[in-house]
Amino acid sequence: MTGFGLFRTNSLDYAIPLARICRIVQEKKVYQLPGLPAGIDFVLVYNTVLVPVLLSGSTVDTSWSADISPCYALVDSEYGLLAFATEPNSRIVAEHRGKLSVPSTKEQIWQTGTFSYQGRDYEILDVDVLATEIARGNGLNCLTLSGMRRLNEEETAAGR
Amino acid sequence: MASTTGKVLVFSLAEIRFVLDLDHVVEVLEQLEPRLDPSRSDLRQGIVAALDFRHTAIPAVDPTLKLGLVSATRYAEKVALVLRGSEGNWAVLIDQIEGLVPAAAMVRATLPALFKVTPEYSETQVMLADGVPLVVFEPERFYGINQDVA
Repeated sequence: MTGFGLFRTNSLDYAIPLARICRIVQEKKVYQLPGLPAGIDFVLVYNTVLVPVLLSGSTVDTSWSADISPCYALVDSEYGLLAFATEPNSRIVAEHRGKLSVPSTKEQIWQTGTFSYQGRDYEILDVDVLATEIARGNGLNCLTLSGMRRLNEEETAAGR
Repeated sequence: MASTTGKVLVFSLAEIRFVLDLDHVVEVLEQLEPRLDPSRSDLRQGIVAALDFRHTAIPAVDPTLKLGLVSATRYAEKVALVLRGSEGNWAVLIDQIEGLVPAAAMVRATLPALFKVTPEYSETQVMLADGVPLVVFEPERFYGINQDVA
């Protein structure tokens, strides 16, 4: 099946291609470590591997701590596993059940398009580009300042 | 990490757990207020005070300065681990001792490829004890002739 995992944080609705999703884990504890790359605030332990947690939201909303983010989508990227924080109401949806929009020009290089499903628009993330940007030291910009904050502003402007 | 005692010391600093080979440790000191002299500091080297240890002033190093961490624990409430070094004893200030763990109970964690591109993780090891990550504290990175120069 071609489809998407649809996820939500308190500030972003996002989609990840199903082929990239390895597993969704619940109630995993996350940990801080010193000197993490910008854009990554925590890691979780999966088997004996440390997995960087993305979209934890701590730089956007400090009230959303690691303790109240019980779900993580483990996603395969060119830089290994990444864990995307999400609220527990994630779902897997076949591509034909929603509407896929791919813009002619990308506003953000880490967004490949939009998947609309049941009245919500989910930004489709390019996990390889995200990982590359983090590796280049641009994680904070792409995940928070120019990314999630912009989306927050757009949602606020749209009255959502 | 090798340990002749077979045990390692786990401590916390800014809510992060570290592990230190017990072979490095000379003594653990608490109730530091009367022992610390903050007027004798050298922040460029991470030394925040002189610590009175057995009637000798030794450097007290705060690793959070080099690690970029923020600890909520005041210096007077911290715990000092007196370590033996190539230039004599020195102390590292930590928040709390968590306990001793058998070295054999730990396994080495696999670091993500994403971390290996950062300078911090080019030399850092992380161990796992009961699934909890413990950053290996390497004293030579914080004090002495071999310490990293920022």
